[in-house]
Amino acid sequence: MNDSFSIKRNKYWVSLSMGFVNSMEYRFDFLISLLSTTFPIIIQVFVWTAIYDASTKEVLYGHTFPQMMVYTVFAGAISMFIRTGVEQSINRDIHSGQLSNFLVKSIMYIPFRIMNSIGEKLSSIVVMILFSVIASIAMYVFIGFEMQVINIILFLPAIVLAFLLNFFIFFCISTLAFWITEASRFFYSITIIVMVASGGVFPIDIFGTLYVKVLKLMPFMYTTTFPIKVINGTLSSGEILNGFLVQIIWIVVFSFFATFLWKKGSKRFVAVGG
Amino acid sequence: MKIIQVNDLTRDFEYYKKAQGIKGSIKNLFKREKKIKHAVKGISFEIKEGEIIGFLGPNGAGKTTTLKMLSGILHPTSGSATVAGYIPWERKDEYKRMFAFVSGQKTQLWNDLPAIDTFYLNKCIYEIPDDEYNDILNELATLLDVKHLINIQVRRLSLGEKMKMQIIASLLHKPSILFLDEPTIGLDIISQQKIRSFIKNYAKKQKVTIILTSHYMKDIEDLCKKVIVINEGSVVYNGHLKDIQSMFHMKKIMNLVFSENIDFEQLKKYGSIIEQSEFKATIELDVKTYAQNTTKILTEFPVIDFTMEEPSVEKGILKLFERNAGNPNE
Repeated sequence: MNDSFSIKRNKYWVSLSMGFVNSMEYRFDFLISLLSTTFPIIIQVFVWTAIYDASTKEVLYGHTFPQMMVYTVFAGAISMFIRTGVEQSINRDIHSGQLSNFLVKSIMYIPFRIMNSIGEKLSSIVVMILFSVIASIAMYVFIGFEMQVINIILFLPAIVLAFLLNFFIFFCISTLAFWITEASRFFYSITIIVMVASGGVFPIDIFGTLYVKVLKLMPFMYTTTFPIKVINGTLSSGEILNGFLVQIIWIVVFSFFATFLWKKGSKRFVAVGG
Repeated sequence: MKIIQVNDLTRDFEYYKKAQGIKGSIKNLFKREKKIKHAVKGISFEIKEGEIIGFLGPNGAGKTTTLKMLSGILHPTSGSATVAGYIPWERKDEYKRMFAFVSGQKTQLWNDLPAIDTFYLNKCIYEIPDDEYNDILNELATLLDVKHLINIQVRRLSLGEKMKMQIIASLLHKPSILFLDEPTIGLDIISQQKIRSFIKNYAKKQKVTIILTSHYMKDIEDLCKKVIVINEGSVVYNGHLKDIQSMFHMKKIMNLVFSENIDFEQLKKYGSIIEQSEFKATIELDVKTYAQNTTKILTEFPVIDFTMEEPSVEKGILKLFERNAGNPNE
């Protein structure tokens, strides 16, 4: 019975490795998906370069050009990192009735989906880390951007918490599929809205102070804006600790909410077909 | 001992009607007509431990919906059921470890990965020790003759091979209750037979309780002594198969091809002719005498080819209905 306790054979660990293996099954698609994760960031860099070139001011929306570059690179990398696509997987499971296969098995769906999502994006996570390292070196050389070791260390819990928070937010959104028969297009639009509200496209300061105040009361900026501010050194250590606390509170709130919605929704599940 | 008890179980589905074409779709965007389908209407039955029960009925009768409620996938609209003391839709982990749900239409296999990956995931889900897992997998794969296929991507397998893999994946944790939902649907005759004989042997060896749904009479006849016939969400018959077998087998249908024209009046002695044309005839034979009559037909007439057919399950159910209408207490 010893082996049932080993981590390698844990069902959720195996869900992770199956997600990883599954994502590599088609080599061409796999390669392209790795390359394409960096495209949006490169496009953003070009856009901001053009905007600053055309502008007569040094500072736009409270950011100098080097600051904006740093923000853009990390915002891109972090949004790639935290985006799981779990809403699409869940929508697919519910819409096709495939969820039945999970409901009858001795496995909990929410942890299964977390682990499977991590597994599916493990390869792009590695690419994003490599990209961030290369980009950081490039930014050091070209615009003199420096990172503190302490910020890099604090960034790790910030990004892990951001990942979990984002997962639970999207898990809650995805349970909507129990009530709406086809929701995948709705999920595409909500993904974009959440990404903008999180600061994953450009700094939320662009919207003006009123919006920033509103956004601060919401969980979204703790998935992207907060980790960026941790790594670029704009927050004090007190602000960082406070940020961790807020992240954890939101994670607890959303994980409860996710469990609640899941229980409600799966009672409504109609298991179409076969 | 009763292992499954179902009382007045009911399940309704809401759906929306849509008229044909673009006009209907646009109209639907603004106003939809809500409809309710009564998929299962207050059915009750009991099943004893170790029994193999056949659920027989045409498409849309409510067979699958009932199985989905018994396996906890669906919540009922009303009514109650217990399986091995558990209420299925509470989805208790202990209960989930006791049964397996095998669907002929919805695979649990990961399509892009070889079947062995799904097997391994199930091994980990049910925490099956290594030795036991290897033994069971080896045994099942040998019995079903798919050992050479377990490392091939599932989507490249044939329908019959996928079904065999599904069965293996479902039996790894040695369930004591099996819900088999149309396990032979869409398969060719030989694959159907193989799966049937596998289930038969497995049930005998492991003493599992099985509910099998099918609309192939052959599946039920081969595997089940008792049947529950349902139609339009209600139980039409619940009892021994042999008592209603006659309903499904009163007649056999024989298609004949002759080398020359024959005297159809002569042929009428043996049964009623459904169709006749030059060199061809279709005749309905009584099940009691059909063996002798078939031999006689084959020797008396210049037959060059013939096939035998069973009347459809739907026809048998219609007869059951007619009988019940005459005597509702039966």
